[in-house]
Amino acid sequence: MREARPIACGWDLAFARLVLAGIFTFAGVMKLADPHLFATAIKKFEIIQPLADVLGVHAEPILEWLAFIIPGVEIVCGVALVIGLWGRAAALVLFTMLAAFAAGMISVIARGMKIECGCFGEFFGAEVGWSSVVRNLVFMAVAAPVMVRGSGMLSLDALVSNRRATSHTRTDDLAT
Amino acid sequence: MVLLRAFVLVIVGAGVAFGYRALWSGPIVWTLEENPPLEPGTTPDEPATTPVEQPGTDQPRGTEPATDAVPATVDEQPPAEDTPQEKPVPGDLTYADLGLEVGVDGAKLIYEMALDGQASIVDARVADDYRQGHIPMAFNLTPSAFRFAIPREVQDMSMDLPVLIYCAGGDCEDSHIVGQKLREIGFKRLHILVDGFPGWKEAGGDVVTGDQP
Repeated sequence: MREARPIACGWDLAFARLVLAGIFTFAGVMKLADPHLFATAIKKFEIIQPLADVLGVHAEPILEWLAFIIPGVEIVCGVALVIGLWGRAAALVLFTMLAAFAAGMISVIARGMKIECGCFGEFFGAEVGWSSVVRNLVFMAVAAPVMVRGSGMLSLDALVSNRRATSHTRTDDLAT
Repeated sequence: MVLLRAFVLVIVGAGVAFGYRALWSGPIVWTLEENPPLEPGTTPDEPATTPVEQPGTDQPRGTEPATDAVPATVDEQPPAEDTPQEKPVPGDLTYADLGLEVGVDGAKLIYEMALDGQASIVDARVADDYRQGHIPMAFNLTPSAFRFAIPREVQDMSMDLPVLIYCAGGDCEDSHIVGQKLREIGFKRLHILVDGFPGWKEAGGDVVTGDQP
């Protein structure tokens, strides 16, 4: 009978997962501390306004909701990563967001705009530039193994998976 | 399965956002309201002379060489038949004439008031731009400076005095955002320089460089 394999139990994965969780929970809380500021930061990227113009709608309501939804998703994924629940899915969401943010930053740089990022406040430098793009790429590199291999040690995913593995082993023992 | 779980996480995150927004009472205000009308007898002190046109007679206080000042772009108007207070005469701009958005003339008036300690100036641009050149006495306060607490520089400013705020001009909205933050703190007399620092510099206004006001 095919054995259920436990989830990859690497301490490296646990470390990457917790680093990612800390970063994004922190970033999400900071953004929610001042949604107005984050909404205006998004507006300055000048990506939503052209889209809204094409669709024939006002940009402000979209900006307002993004200013709440983005940190909301960051916090939920951060918490999921902290407890190691659905680690691959949470890392996938954050990886996708990081890729989208990096693309937005590159767009800003290409247009020669000088704006504040609004990503993590002033802790890592406020202005959008290549350093902020590199920072995002580093975070994506941290998220990638968790997205591919899972939550690692000290996680609910590992606990559930190991219990399943133990349960299958007992079933096999009884069968023989 | 991973994609489904990712979708669920996004939905839960959006739900958290909806819940937080419902609890968070402050609306996002996109436009800065006009200053309240001046009460009689409360006009901030103005300098003894009301400079509007300075054809290169003043030496700039900064490190940049003096440039020929462009005369203030005040439209010529026929002499007023009514009392002088009803139709301002070119070159006779007073503080009471200034609204939320001001041109370079109004900014120069407030600048002269700041020289006498009767106004404050705020530069809302990023630090690099501020360092390369700013209006003398201007504090560098970007929107993110207000994220966690009232900036130290703001605590030293008097709420009763006018504040001139500028950024890069054009589509730049940082001056409005900083103005909104100052309005929430309690500052009443706010003035946004419409043409921003480029307009000030082009008009021959004083400029200094460095990190300090």
